[in-house]
Formats: sequence, C-alpha cells, structure tokens
Amino acid sequence: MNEPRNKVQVLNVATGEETERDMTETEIAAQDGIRPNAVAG
Amino acid sequence: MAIKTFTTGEVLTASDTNTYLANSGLVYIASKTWTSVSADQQLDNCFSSTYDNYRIVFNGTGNQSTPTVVFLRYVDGTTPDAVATYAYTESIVVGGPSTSLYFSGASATSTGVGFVGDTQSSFSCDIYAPNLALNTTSTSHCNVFGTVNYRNGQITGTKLTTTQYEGIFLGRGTGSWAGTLTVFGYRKA
Repeated sequence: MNEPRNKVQVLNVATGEETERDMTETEIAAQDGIRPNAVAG
Repeated sequence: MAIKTFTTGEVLTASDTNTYLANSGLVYIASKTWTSVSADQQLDNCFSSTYDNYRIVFNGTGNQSTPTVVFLRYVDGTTPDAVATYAYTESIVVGGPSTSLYFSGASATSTGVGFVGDTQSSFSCDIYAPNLALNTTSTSHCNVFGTVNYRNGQITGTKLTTTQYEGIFLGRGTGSWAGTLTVFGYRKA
C-alpha cells in the first residue's frame, strides 16, 4: 500500500526558482492509479 | 553546422567553439538534486522546441529495503498530466530470488521509469517527442539495489495524447528518497 504523499518540490528550469507546492486533488486521487509495487521474494 | 573536420594548422575560432559546444550530441539542459524527502519532484520548462528527444539520468537512494517504483508524468505548463492515458511495459529481473517480472498496463495515471532502494538506484530514460504534437514515448534502462533484493531491466511507456509538454514529474511508490536528476537534449543536426 502506498504511503500518502502531498508535497511536490518544483524546479523551474527557465528561472532557476525552486518552490514546494501541495499536490492537487487530481494528483492525490491519481495515487491510486499507480501500478502496484509488485515484489518477488 | 554541427559537424566539421578541422585541418592541420587551422584556427579554432570562438564562433566555431560556441557552435560545436551547442551542438555536441547530448546537450545539458538542467539538473535537480534533492536530499532525503518524502516529496515528489517536478522540473518545469525543461522541454521546448529546441530539441525533439531527451534523455534523463537519475542517481539516488531511498529508505526502501525492498525497492519501490519510480513513476513518471509529463507536465503541461506547470501541471502534471495525471489523466489515465499512460501505457507501459516492464521487463525486470529480480536478483536475491532470481525471478523475472513482466508487467504491462494501460489507462494508467503514470508510467514507470525505474526503482529506488536503500542501497543504490539509477536509471537512464530516453523520452521521445514530449514537446511535439505526437504521443510521447519513453524507454528506460534501470538498476536498483535494496537490502532485500535488486532489480535490473527495461521499462517502456507511451502517453496516448498529442499534448505538447514542457516538464517532467517523478514520484515513488513508498518511502523517502534523495538523488540527482539530469536532463539532456539530443541535438537535431
């Protein structure tokens, strides 16, 4: 099961500015669509 | 001109030097380094009309004894595209146990691009046509070592939309991670 995540660190390559933002509702909802972290062994 | 053969005694001018540095195969665009965090990572404005195809290279580590997936989304403007139109295939060999894993999926909200684990992780991924009005595709070769097992393999992905993207978003399945991501462009001529 994936841990909840809600922050994104962003680098704007054009300006060099680094910021941190909250995930959007769409991104949070999309966490469930990440393919399962299948593990063998 | 991207290719020139210099003759004996010919002067290498500043103009020539600048031209050939700017057209030297893989051209550096940007790099992002982050220390151990649980945040996902995003680079805006690393794709443009200057190049059609790109390579991203990652070196890093995390706190996962069993490696976890690193996934990729493309960024439209400053917004990662999480619409479920990604398709992918993965061919992975897991060492520790010696097991082959094959995954594929469609209608996904991202494509895999590699793994991260608590010993060492790296991948090199070619991204084709992210800023052109074509489907964006990718081919990644990845290696990861974790305490529990290690993995090597290839992951391909397709984003089934002709949106022209400007950036890239990377997340991981679980845990924290640290690393450096570098973006290069393939010269066109």
